[in-house]
Amino acid sequence: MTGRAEGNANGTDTVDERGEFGMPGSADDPLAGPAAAIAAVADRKPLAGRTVLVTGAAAGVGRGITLALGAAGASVVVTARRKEAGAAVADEITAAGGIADVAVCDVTSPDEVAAALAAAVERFGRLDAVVHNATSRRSSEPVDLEHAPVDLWNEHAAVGSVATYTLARAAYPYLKATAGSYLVLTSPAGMQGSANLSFYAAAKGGQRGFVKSLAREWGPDGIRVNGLAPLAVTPALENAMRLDPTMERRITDLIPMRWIGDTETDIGPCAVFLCSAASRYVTGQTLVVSGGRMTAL
Amino acid sequence: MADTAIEADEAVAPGRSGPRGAVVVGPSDVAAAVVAALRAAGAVVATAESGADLAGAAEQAGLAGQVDLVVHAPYTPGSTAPCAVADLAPEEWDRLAEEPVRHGLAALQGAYPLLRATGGSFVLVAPSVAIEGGAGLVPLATASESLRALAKSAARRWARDGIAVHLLAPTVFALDAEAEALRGTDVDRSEAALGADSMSAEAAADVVLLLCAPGARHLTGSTFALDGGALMLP
Repeated sequence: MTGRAEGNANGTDTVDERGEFGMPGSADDPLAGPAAAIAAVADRKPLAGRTVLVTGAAAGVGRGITLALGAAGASVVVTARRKEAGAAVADEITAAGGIADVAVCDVTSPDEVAAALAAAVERFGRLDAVVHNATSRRSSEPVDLEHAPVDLWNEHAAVGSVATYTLARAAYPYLKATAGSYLVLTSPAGMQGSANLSFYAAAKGGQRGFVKSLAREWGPDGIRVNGLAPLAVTPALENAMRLDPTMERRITDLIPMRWIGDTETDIGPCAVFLCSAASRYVTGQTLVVSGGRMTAL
Repeated sequence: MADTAIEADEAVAPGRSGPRGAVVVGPSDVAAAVVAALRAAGAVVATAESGADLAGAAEQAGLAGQVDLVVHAPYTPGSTAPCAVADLAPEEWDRLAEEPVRHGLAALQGAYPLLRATGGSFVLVAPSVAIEGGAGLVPLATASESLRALAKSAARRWARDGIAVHLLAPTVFALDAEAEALRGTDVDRSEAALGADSMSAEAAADVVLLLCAPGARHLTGSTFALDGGALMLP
C-alpha cells in the first residue's frame, strides 16, 4: 500500500507525503516516523527482565504487540494454535536481539492454557504480564443477529469471555507473585455496538466488563487489569482494502490523525506501557488507540 | 413489592400508538415491578422465564401481533454473591457469565419479529455495577456488558424496522434481595445524589414507562443509569 493518490479534502489531486496507510514521516524518520515509536520503548528496555505471554501472537495485532514487547526487552512467550506460526514471530524477535519462546496454545483449551503458563514460568522463572489478544477466527464475519445460531455466539464467547476467564484463573498465582499485569485486547465495537459485527461487539463488550471488575478484585494483590482497544491494519483489513480501493480513504477520513494504526509501532508501544511499571497506578481502564477515532469514552 | 411511584392515570402506556401489549422476561424484582406498573397503566402483559419462547408467551396471553414492548430483566440466582475468579469453577462461570448472554440473545431474537410487527421497543435491564465493575462480580459484569453491547448492536440494526432498543442500568440492589449482601461493600456507592427511592425496582419500572412515551421515539441504544445520580456519566 502507498500514500493516498486520490483527490484530497480540498478537491485537488495531490500525492501527499504520508507513508503506508497514511502515516506521517518516512519509515526511518528518527523523530516522527514509526521508528520513533519503537525507539521510545526500545531505548530504555522498560520490560527487561520481565516475562510476558501473548495469546494469538502469530498475526495481526497480536504479532505487532509481541514484536514491540520483544523490542522493549521482555522475554516474550509467543503463543499460537500452530507452532510454526508462533515460531516465525519468535524468530523475528530473536533476530532483532530479543528473547522469545513459543508455546502452542488454543485458548479454548484450559489444559493448553495452563500448560503454556507453566511453561513460561519454567522457561523464564517468572510471569509478569499476560496479554490476551486472541479472538475468534469468525470475528470479522458479518452476523445475521436476528437469526444467527447460538453455536456461532458460543464460538465468539469461547475465545472471548470464556478464555479471558480461563487465562485469568490460571495466571492468577503467577501474576500475584510478581504484582503483574493482565491486558485484554478489546474494541470500540464493545462500547458502541456494531450493526454487522454484533457478536464481536458483544464478546468485546463482555471483556470490558470483565476487566473493570477484575481490576477491583485483583487490585489488593497488586495485579493490574486493563483493556486496550486498537484501530489498526490487520491482515483482514489490509485484504479488504485491497479489494475495495476506496475503503482506506473512507476509514482514514474518519480518523483525526488521518492514518490507520500500525500494529507494531502504534499499538505495540501502548501495550508495552500497560505491561510496564510506567503504568503501575493504572488499572480497570481501557486505552483506546485509534488515532482519535473514538473520543466518547 | 411497593406500588410504582407513578400513579396509573399518570403513566404512559407502552406503544407509540395502537396495541398495548408487553412481554416481560424475569424473574427479578425489577421484572415484577415492571409488570405491576404496566398492568396499572392498562397494558396487557405476558411474563416469561429467561430463555423461554417469547412468541409462545405472547400467544398464550392473547397478544399475538400486539406486542409493542419487550423488557428483558431476569436475575440469575447467585450472580450477586461475590466470588473470586480464581475460585470460580468453569461450570459456575458458564451459569453466571455465559448462560445469561445466551438467554439474552434468545430474547432479542425472539423479540425481533414481535416488535417488527408493531414498531415497538426492547428494554434490556443490566445492573449499573457492570459499568463500573465490582470485586467478586466478574461473571455478572461480563454477562451484563456483553448484553449491553449486543443490545446496542440491535439498536443500530433495528432502527430501520422502527424498533427502539433501550438499556436500563439500575443499581444491583434493585434486582433481587440477594444483593443486600453487598451492602457496605465497594459496590454500595455513597455518591448518589438522590435517595434510595430513586434506585428501587419501582423506580426502574417508572423509567420503563417513560421509555414507552411518544417522546422516546427519538431515543435508541442509550443507557439510562438508575443509580441515583452516582455516576453522572458520560
